[in-house]
Amino acid sequence: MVFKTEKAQISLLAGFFILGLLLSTSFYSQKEFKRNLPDYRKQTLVDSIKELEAEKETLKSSIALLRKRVDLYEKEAAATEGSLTSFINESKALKETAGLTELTGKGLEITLADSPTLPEFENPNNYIIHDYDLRTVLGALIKGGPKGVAINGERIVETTSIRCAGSTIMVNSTRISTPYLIYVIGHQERLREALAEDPAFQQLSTDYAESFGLTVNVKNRNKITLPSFEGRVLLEHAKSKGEV
Amino acid sequence: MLPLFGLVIGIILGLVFKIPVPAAYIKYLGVATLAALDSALGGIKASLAKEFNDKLFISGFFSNTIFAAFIVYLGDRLGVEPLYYAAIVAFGVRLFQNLALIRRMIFKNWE
Repeated sequence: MVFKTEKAQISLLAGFFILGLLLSTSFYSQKEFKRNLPDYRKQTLVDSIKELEAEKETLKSSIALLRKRVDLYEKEAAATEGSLTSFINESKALKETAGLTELTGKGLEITLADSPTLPEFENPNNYIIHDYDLRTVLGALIKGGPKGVAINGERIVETTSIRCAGSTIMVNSTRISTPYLIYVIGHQERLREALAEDPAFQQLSTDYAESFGLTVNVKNRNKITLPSFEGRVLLEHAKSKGEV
Repeated sequence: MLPLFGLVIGIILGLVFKIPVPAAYIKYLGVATLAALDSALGGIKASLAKEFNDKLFISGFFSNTIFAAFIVYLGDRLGVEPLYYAAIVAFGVRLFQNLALIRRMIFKNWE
């Protein structure tokens, strides 16, 4: 009997020993798991995005400030040295074409927006506006000879990129989201014609808009003011071959 | 007293060695731990009731633990992930039953 209880104690000891091992390992790995949870990483990434965006804003405003000072110097120079005047006027015109100045004029307002409803069990990608939809609109507009375009306050220039970033779209590396307001300055009729002639835009504004509830509106606007492009314009990797 | 000693040694060794468990297996480990806890309490109950059988205890301990983890795996494979609720509920209910029985026996022994 004594022998039997001894044996019982030993097997209980073994069982509890393994239980203890399992308990502490579970506790420890659960703690580690929570610490490494994607949410935790996501939060740090979100924080760093916000930080970088704030930094970009301050840099942008310092670019704007410097450009103003350059303008001021140019004006001063123009007033004192006559020979510079023509150069300065030329640079002004070039800046306007390049999208580095504010632009005012007649044009169109094109609204693109995600569908307000998203049915279950269907591909959600069909119900939202994508980066390529914005590119479709811009591509269609080019034939109408636009003088300037901006999407949600981001001026479209030669180096503009429009790309997909999760549920938002990056234009000039700035996050924008639905609804997308595209302002274009130019000849209203010609721009409308260009849109009407573009098969991809037609598909978007009729077929897709109707089947998936996307918003695609084109309106005439008599006074549009486009913001100036605030990013850098210097080309880093391409080199000019000089005057041709 | 001896089982308690084993438990403490086990916990300390686990905390000292910090055996790394991949995130994907944490669920399995959790359910296996629950099964082990259930078996351990069952063992205490049996020894208090003086019907402890070491072969029964050790085989039950390992088969419950392994099978609990296997149920989780099976659920994952079959796409019936809630299958492991079955293990959790079964072990959870037994755990409380055993606890109640142990309490009763301890009071009985006292009187």
